[in-house]
Amino acid sequence: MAATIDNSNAAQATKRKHLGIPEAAFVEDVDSFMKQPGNETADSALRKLDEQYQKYKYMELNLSQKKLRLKNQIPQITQTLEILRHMQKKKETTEPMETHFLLADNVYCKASVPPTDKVCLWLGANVMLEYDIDEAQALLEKNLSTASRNLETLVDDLDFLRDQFTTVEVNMARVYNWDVKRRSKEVLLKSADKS
Amino acid sequence: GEAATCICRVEDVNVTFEDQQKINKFARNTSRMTELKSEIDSKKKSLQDLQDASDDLMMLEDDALLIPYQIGDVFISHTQEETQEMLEAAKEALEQEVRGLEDQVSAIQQVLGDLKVQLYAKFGNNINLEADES
Repeated sequence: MAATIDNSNAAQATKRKHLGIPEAAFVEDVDSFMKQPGNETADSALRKLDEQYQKYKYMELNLSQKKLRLKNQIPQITQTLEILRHMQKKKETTEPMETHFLLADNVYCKASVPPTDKVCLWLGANVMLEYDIDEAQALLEKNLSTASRNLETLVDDLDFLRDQFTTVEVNMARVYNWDVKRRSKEVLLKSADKS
Repeated sequence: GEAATCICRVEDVNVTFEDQQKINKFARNTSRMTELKSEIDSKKKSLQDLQDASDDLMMLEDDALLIPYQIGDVFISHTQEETQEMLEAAKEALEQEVRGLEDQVSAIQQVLGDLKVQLYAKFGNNINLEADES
């Protein structure tokens, strides 16, 4: 993957990634973070962070499902293209193709397909359109590249999302440890008082 | 898929933004590697299926029998010779894909190894970078 994003694209790139995925604030210094309003106790801070974390996890679930759907779409288009390629080869010959096609679940039907230059493609919404083999190939190749591009974008978004909730995880760990340290300091002070 | 969890108990050492970015990079790459490994496994299984099909084909006694070769939801009948050729081509394509994926895995393992050295150097026992083997 290309590693260099030039400056004009960098701003655009981060702007696009922010679409729907909020950036998690990195905690520079836990002490000053805990002085912020809403973070009076470690508990309340942790609760807020946990809420953030759950939201990110939910987004991750959605995006992962979308990714799975896209990942399944691509081999389907590839296979259809393969059949087209096969039909292109047969177009020049005179013998019919012998096929078994899916009639219903687990039921196949024999068919003899004479060489042809027309194919029908399912476009979705129960609509089927007839194309020349060449047109059909062009259409499917376009769909394939769109699907691949969408998958790339999705993977990028997921990466960005992962960065955000990893940051929140680390924030939570640091707040928790800060609290543990604070409490042990208090205990030490109290026992010093008594002596 | 499961995101890689790295349990960080970062105590006395302060976590800088740079550290956070390294930790993020580690998590991202670990996730990517898990995905790649599972893709490699599934492709290797397909390779085995192709090999089994090719072996079974060679055992056929009737040379004239046409073989229905599956493309998508459809079976298209081919001669045994054509079928063997298609099986070979499919195997080669898959083998190339697997090689590409394995190269990616190696590259990522390098990156992860590097990051581990840096992060353990700074945080020592306060950070756990071993993937959950669950």
